[in-house]
Amino acid sequence: MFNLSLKLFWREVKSGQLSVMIIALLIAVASVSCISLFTDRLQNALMLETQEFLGGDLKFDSSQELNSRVLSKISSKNLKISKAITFASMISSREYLQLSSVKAVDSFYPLVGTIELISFKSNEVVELKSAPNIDSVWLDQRLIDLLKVRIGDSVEIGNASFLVSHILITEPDRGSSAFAFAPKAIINYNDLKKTGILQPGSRVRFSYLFLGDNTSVNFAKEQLNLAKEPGDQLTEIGSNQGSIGNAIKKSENFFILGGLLSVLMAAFTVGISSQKFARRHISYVAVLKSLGSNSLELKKLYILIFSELAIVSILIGLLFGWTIQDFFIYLLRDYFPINLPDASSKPFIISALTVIICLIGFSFPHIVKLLKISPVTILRKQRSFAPFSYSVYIAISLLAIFLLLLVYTENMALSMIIFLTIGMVYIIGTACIYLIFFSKPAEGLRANNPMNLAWSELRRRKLSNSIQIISFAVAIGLSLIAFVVKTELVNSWEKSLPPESPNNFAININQIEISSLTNFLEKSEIKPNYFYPIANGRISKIQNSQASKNSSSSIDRTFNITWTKKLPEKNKIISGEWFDEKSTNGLSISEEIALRYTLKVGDKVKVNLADQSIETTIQSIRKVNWESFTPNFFVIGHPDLFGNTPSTYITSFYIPKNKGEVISKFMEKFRTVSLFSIESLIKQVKDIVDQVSRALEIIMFLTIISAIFLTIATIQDGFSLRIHQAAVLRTLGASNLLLRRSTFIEFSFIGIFAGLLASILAQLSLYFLETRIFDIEDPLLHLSLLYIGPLSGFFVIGFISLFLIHSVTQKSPKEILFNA
Amino acid sequence: MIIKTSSVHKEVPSSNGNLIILEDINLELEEGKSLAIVGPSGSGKTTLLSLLAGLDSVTSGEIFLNGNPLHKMNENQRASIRKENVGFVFQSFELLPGLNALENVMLPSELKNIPEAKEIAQKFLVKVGLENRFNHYPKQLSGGEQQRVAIARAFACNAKVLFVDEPTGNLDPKNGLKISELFFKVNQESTNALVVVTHDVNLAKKCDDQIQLKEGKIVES
Repeated sequence: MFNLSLKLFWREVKSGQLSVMIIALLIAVASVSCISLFTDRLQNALMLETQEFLGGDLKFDSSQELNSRVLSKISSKNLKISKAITFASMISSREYLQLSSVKAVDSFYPLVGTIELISFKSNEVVELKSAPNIDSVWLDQRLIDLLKVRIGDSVEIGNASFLVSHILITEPDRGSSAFAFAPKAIINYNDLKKTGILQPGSRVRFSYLFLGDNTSVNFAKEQLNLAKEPGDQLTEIGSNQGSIGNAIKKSENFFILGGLLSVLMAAFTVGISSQKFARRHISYVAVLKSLGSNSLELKKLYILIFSELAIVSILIGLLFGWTIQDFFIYLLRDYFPINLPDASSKPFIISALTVIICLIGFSFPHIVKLLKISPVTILRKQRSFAPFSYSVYIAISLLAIFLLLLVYTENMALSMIIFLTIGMVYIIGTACIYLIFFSKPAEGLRANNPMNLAWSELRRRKLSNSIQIISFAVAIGLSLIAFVVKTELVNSWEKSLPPESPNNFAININQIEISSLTNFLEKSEIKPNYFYPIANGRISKIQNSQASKNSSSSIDRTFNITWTKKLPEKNKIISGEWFDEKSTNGLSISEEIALRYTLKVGDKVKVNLADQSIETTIQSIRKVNWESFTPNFFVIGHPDLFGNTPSTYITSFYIPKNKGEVISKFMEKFRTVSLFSIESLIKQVKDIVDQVSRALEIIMFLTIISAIFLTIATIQDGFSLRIHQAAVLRTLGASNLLLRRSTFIEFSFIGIFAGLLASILAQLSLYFLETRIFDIEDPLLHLSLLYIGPLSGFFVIGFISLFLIHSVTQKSPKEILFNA
Repeated sequence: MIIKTSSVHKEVPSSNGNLIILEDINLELEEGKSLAIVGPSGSGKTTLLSLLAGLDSVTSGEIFLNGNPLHKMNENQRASIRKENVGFVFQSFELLPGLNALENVMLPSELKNIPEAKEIAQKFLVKVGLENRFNHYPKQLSGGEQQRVAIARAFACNAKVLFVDEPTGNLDPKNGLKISELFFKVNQESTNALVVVTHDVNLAKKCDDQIQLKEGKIVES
C-alpha cells in the first residue's frame, strides 16, 4: 500500500498534475514559517529588550524605602534584587554648576543587560556589568558638556568629590527612571552617605528591581501590591514597550496579515486543486474497487498520498521560510537592540498545522466524495461524482478557514474580521448570482452568437460560477488588501512621522523663561510648539454613595497634569465634550486612565496638587496617540481651574540637523531647563518603517503569487468542464472565434463581478483592520478600489481565459474527445 | 463523390520518434452511400474517421469532403465545413451533461442560426423514440437512450455525411441491435452518406461498402 501510494504520488508530481497544489502549499508554508519564525524571534527579542528597558522582571518605585519586613519576605524567594536611589542634585565642576539626576546603585546593579560606557583608560566603548567604583562617577555626555569636564577630572556632589571615570552612553532601566530627562550621573550606593545630600524630607525616588522565575516574580508582585501606597508604582514587563517596541509590534501586525492572506489563498487553491485531483482519480478508485480494494484500503491509500504531499510541502516550505526570514532579519539587522534569540518550536508547529488544516479542511471532502465512487462508473465512463451534500463540505471548509486564521494569528479580532468579511462576501456573491440569473434559462445553449452563448452559460452554471466568483473575489480582494496595506497603511504610518516632527523636548521651563526661550529659538529660525504648564498631582475619585457621602478613594499614582483650552494635536475626544467657550471647570482624561481606574464622564474627582486641592468633574475622555512625539498628557484640566497652580512648562520643537550648535547654546543659556533629544528614537522608528516596508514587499510578492495560483487553479477548474463542451461544439461546427469570444465575455463578466465583490471585501476588511488592528484614527475610504477591483478582474481573468481557450482551440476536437 | 482521399498519411510524435498511424489511404464514397471501416484495435479506424470528418488534419495526402479540400484548410475553415456537411455520432455519445435531451439535439441548428431549432430537435427525438425524454438530462438516461439522443443530434445537423464511431460499442447486444436498426432506418429517410467505424460484423454488412484496416493500411475493400 505504501509503495503504491509513493508510486501514485510520484506519478502525480512528475506529470505536473499536482504542481498547482504543491506550489500553493509551499507558498503557504513558506509564508507562514517565515513570518512565524520572524515574529517569534522578534517577540523573544522584545521580551528581553523590555526586560532590559525595565532593568528586571519587576520594578517598584516609591518615595519611601520599602518596608524591611516586606523586603525580607520577598528576599526569601529565588529572586535577585537591586536597589537604587535617584534624586536631583547640583553637580559642580571647577567652573560650572548643573542641576542633574543622580542615581546611586548597589553592587547587584544591573540585574540584566550591561552598561555601555566610554572608558577612561582606552577611550573606547566598554560594556560593564557592575556599579561604579567607590569615589567614581559616570556622567552622561550632556553633563560632561555642561560641566565642561573630561574623563579623569573631579566633580563635587554634595560634600563628596568624585572622579569622572567613564562617560555614560546607556544603561538598562534607562527608560523608567524618575528623572530620566535630566542630565545624568551614576554613583555607587556606598558613596551616598558621604555626599550628605539625603536628609529627611529630601525628594528622592527609591527603586527596587526584581529578577527571577515566574513564581517568585508573581510572589513579589503580590507582596508589593499589598505594600503599595498612593504614589508608589509597580511596573512589570509588557506594561510598556516604548515607541520602538510599538513600531515593531505594529510591523508584526502587518507581517501577520500579509502571511494570513497567502495562507487563505493557498487554502482555497488546495480546495480547487483537490477537486480536480478527485475528478482525475475517479477511474483509479473505480478500477481499484472493481479489483477488490475495499473503502478502508483506499482510504489508507489516499491518506498516505496526502501525508506524503504534506511532508514534502512542510519540509521544502520550511526551507524557503527559513531563508526568507533570514533575509528579513538581515534587512532589519540594525534595528534590533540585541541579537535575535533562536526561534521556539511554535513556528514549526504552526507551519505543519497550516498544511494539515488546509488538507483536512479543503481536500478531505473531495477525497470522501472520491471514495464513494462506485466501480460501475468505470463501465459507464462517468466523469462526475454521486450527489454530495455541499453543506457538509462548506461547513468543513469554513471551520478550516477559521482554525487557520486562529492558529496563525492567535488574534480573535483579526480572525473574525477576515472570516466574517469572507463569509459576507460569499453570501452577497451567491445571492447576487442567483438574483441576476434568477429566471429559468431559455431553452437551448443559444450558441448562435458569442453574447447569447456566454449569457446562457452564466445562467446555467449558477453554482459552479458562484464558487468560481468567490474564489476570484478572494484572490483579488486579498491581493487588494495586501496592496493597500503595503502602500496606503504604511504611508499613513510614515505620515504620522512627518520629516519635521519635533525632535527635542524642553522641560522644567519657568514661566518667566518662556519669552526669552521663544526669542532664542526664533532667532535660530526654530519655532517652538505650545508651552504646556505641568504640575504633579494625584487624583481621588469622590464617592457619592449614601453610606460614605463625599468620601474619596485615591488613585495609586501621580500624574503630570496640564491645563489648556486647546485640544492637543493627535488627541481625539471619544466620550463627553472638550471644554467650550462657556465652560470654566472640568477635567479631561486619557482612555487608559479611564479604563484602568474605572472613571467615566460625569465622575467627581479631587485633584491634589502640591499646596492645594481642587474638586471638579470629568468632562471628557480622550484617545491619545502616544507615538506622536509631541507632549501628551493623561490628565488635562480647565485653565480657569488650574490657572493659579505653580508649575513649570514643557514644549517641543524641531531642530534641523544643520543647526546642531543650537543645542549646546541652548543648554548653556538655559541651564535649569532640561533639553532632551528624541532624534535617534525618531530615526530608529522611521528606519523600522522603511525596512518593514521593504520586507512587506516580499510578503506582498508571496501574496500575489498565491493569488495567481488561486486564479489559475480556479480558471483551470472552470475550463476542465468547458474543454469537453468546446470540443463537442467544434465537432458540430462551432468556430473557434465563437468559442473564444463567448469564453472571453463569460469570464470577463465573472472577473468584473468578482472584482466588484473583491473591492467590497477589501474595503470592509480594511476598515476593520485600520480601526481595530492598526489603530488608524480616521480610516480612509479607498474609493479607488471600486474600479481597481473590477478592472483587475476583467483584465486578469478575462485575458487568462482567453489564453486558455486559445490553447484549447489549438487542439483538434479529435485529440480532446478521443483521448479523454 | 462526397468523399475522396488520395495518399492520406498520418503520423503522430512519440517518444520513439514519429509513429505512423495511417499510410497511403485512398478511398471514395458516393453521395447517399454507406461505408463501413473495420479492423482490429489500433489499426487507425478512429483516426481515419476523424480525418474524413475534418476533426483532425492530415500529415500528407488529400481529402475532399463534398468537394472541399480539407487537407488545405485550417481548423476554423474545417469547422465551417463540418457545420454544413458533417454529422457525428461518438461511441461515448459525447452529450453535454448540462443540457437536456432536447437542448443537446437543438445544438447543431442553433450553430447554424436556424430559428426552428426546437421543432427540428423535437422531430428527430420523436423519430428515435424519445418523445417522452425531451427534458431528461444525460445522467437521467440509459446508455441506449443517450446514444439515441446522439443519433438524433447527428441527423438534426441535416448533414451531407454522417460519421459514426462504434455506435453500438457501449451498448448491450439487444440495445446495440435496436440502435443499428434505428440508425439505418433514419438514414434511409434522408439522403445522407454514411461512414461507420465498427467491430460489429452485422452492422458492417448493412453498409454498401467496407474497408478493412490493418496497421494503418487498407488491406481489403
